[in-house]
Amino acid sequence: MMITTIFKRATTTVLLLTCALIVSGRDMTRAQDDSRRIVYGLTFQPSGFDPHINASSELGIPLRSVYDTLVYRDPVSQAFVAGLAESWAISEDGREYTFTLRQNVLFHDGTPFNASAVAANLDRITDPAIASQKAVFLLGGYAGYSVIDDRTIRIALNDPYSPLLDSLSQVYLGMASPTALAAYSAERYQFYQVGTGPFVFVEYVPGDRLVLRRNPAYVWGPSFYQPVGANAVETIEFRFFTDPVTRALALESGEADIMGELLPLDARALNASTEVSLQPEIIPGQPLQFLINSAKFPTDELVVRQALLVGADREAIADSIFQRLSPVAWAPLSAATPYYNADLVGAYAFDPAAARDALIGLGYSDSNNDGVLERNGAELEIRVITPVWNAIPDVVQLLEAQWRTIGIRTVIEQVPSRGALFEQVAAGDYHLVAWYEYGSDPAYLSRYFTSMGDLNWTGYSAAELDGLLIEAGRQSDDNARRSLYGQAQRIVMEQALILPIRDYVNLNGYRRTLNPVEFDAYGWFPLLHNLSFSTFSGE
Amino acid sequence: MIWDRHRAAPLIVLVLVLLVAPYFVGDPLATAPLMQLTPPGFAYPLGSDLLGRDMLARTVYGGQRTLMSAGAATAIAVGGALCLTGIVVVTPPGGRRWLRLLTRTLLALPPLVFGLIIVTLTSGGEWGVIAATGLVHLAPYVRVLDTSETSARQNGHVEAARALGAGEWRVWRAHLLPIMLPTLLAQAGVTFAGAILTSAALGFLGFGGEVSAPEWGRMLYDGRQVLRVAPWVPLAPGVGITLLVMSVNYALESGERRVRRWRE
Amino acid sequence: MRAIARALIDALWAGLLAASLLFLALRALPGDGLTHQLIESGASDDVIQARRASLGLDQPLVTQVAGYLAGLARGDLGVSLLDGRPVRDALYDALPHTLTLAGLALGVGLVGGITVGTAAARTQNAVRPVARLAIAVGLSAPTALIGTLAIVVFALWLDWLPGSGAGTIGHIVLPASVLGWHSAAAIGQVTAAALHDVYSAPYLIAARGRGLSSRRLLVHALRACAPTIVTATMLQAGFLFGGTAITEAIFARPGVGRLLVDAALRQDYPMVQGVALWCAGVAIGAALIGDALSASLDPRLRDVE
Repeated sequence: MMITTIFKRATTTVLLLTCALIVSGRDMTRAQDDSRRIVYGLTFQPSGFDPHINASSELGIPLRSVYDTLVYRDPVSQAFVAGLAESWAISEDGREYTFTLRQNVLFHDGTPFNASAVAANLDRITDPAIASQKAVFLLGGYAGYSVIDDRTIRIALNDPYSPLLDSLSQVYLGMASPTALAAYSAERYQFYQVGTGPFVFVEYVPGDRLVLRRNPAYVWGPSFYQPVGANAVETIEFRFFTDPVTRALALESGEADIMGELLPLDARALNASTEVSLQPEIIPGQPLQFLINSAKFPTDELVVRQALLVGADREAIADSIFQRLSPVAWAPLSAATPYYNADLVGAYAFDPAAARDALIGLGYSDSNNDGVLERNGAELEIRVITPVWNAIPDVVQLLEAQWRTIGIRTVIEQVPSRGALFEQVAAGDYHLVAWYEYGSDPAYLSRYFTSMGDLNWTGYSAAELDGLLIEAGRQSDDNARRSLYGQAQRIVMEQALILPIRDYVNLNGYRRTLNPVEFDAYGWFPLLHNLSFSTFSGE
Repeated sequence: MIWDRHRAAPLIVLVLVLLVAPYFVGDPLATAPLMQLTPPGFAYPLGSDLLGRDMLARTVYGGQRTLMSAGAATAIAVGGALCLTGIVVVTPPGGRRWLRLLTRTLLALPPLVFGLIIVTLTSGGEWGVIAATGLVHLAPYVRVLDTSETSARQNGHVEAARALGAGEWRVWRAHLLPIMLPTLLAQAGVTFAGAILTSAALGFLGFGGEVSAPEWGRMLYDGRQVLRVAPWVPLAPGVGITLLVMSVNYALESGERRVRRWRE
Repeated sequence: MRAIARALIDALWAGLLAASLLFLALRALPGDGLTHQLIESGASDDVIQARRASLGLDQPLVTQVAGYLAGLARGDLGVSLLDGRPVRDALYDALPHTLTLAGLALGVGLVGGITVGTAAARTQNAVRPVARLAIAVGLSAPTALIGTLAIVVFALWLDWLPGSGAGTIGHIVLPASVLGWHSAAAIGQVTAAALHDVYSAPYLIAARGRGLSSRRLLVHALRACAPTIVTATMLQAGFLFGGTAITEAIFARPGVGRLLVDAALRQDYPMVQGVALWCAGVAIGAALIGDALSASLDPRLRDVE
């Protein structure tokens, strides 16, 4: 009798379980009805999706189109064009920027956009409690703002900071609805984002999806946003394809319509596809590079740092690992970045014999015949902090083999996350660390190469470089900046403070049911507003 | 001898090959970017990977490494289980209930979380993975030990020995252990096979020593990146794991059969 | 009934112990996701302290454990360190994917396992070695390999099924089959062994002597093996419903396993704890159900009561 009861209960449990299965099956048929919907593949799940707080470039792929910025950068001419600000004026001393705001702009929740909305955003970004990882740094020497009237706001700076317009054109300084900001706590807002942009934020389920829907009221876009046609994409579902192998597969099977960061080998194979087009996009900013610690033996000696560069066969790395789909990098900026110093191309060309000779000239020798050079009993051993993303472990393995032939021993220290990388760097026990960031205005160079820079992981400090980079940030004249950044790049390379590997190229692919995808001036972010079907039949 | 020589032959051959072969193959770490992704052929019998490394050499060295780490992990699991049970035997009766509760708890924890915690605590490396693998397989071993001990205690001459006033420890060593031995050995084999798979799974997820090390799980992961162009790269370590585990299982089956016959 | 109650109490104890152990083990790890994120953004020590305090991370461990267990009793699993999302919500979002995949894989495993197990134990011709090989490979091959091969063959070469993602019935066929194969092998092995034993048992030999058809004989034998098969199946259920990180990663599917690995890599401990507890609960629950089911199926146990 009791057994029967138990059996019945067990059966009930199984039935309940089955019901759960059926309920969950529901999501399988979800929203297949929308014919103007596409799936956009994201490549990893950032730790947060709040543009004011988080720094990942991945977040901008969807959110660039949820928010508008005060100004925009034209993707072709790189010139600044009107966004939420119709016009702006910069004071003579470069310390005051006055923005005249566009009128009749509404946030997705109906809140009107005006000067106090801008003020609320600036207050949030500069609030130390939200611990902004990127946005607050983009503001440079920000001193405060004053609201002149409903459609005029003035931003004041402690020091002239010419990259400010570039900063204000980035998604990290996108304008969010003050109503929504007030309604949610700092860490919860990312699930309920409200902007003024061409797409409305529908939902975000971490690890699963982020959904955007076109904003029908949107008429205040920048000059390079095309009029919305009948074949425009209506709904975009972003999904995460963390494992790189799955990306090309998803594109081919139609599981995703657009995908970034394809594996180089897969991208090559897709070239032959009739269904998928490859669209490599060069990213302005720093190349894939290693910062070299100049404050620690043995890389504290210039000759050793130079030997590391000359002993690295970057052509072989670009050919094999990156399948010649991205060019070898020679400078602290990639070739697509404004103010790039092209004179540096070819510097430190691969010459292992010269590298070894230089080290021997410095007094190193392999007295114990173990293949590793030493001097006064100290071995030539370098420790490389190696994050696991972007094929860096492969790059480091080739470098290790190349450096081994000139008598340098490489210890590879893998780090699984950005947090772990920062921890290792803080501990100080490293010679090389792979780290780079993106951006059109090279203002960020001062964070890396001035003595007071918060990311000065090379440990280099010299008045000349400090002066050049600081002055380049203050100058507003384009030619003056070009010359200053050109000199700064030359010094960084003369001092061998970095080992640049390749210019960063995002290997995008899209299905041919779509027209080619356009990207903004920063390379990472698609102009979702302009996305349209090539074959839309309206069924 | 509970092993059937014929059924154990594949395992023995495989182990011998893996132990000897490293002397006949090249350097598993030597890179040659110009020779990347060469299909299997004369120069590279199992092909080469993205960095132009010899897959044969890597597979062979990886196998040796796997044997070593799975062996060490098995030693940890078996040794740990014996120690725990030994402690319980000499302590008051309540101890056994606690041991069972602990075992049940550990068995319920997902092996992956358990493994990841230990790997992180030991900061990654090869020994971290060995420790994690060993501890993951500890609880199942304790359970088998416990079950087989309980049934062995019902054996006539064990009861007789106790009636004659033999101490717990002596009963255990002189009477219980001989009865349990075949089961314990067979379970050690099961643990060994499981340890191979667990350490491969941890390697696949990116744990387990230096990035360049020939480790089967990691090789499988790396190989998937070049899947489309060079399917032989993930195949070599994958088939290696499968064959090794299969040959252990095959040998075990004969062991089980012997145990059964011997009991009857 | 008393035995069941005892088992339930033991299970509760195990769950409680698991929760506390996990909590302590995770807190023993150096650093946490929140602090990492704040250090990365160059936040001041004051900000870091304040944020940690707001999540109760600055309190003594004992207080934290007690608070966590008290929360558990109310069904509160805590919130993510990184985005403040309730762990329960995250689980709720991931569960449908895992339940669907695990349910189908278990179905494949049960049907496939009994079939292949019977084939391995009872057929005579060429089917037998094939069945045995299928079991041996299923038990020995890592899911990563089988999954990879399945993608190459069925998605890349034959182009029959999508090799990644989630959303339609088609997407679940490959991952469910890959997972199901492993379960089928495990269940098949147990089935084959049990059938082998049953067929040499006196009552079955007697039944055969009475001239029962081999088909009816097999039905009898399978019924006798049912408790063993159920136990093995519930063991598999315990694995599968706890999320299968590697399969989910290979096929780019969301689910509990992914949630767990992502949280572990980001050191989001409340999330790791919550997911791990779900897995532990499932494993314990599946074992309980398995015990109850096999008890009700086992004629010997039935006679006792």
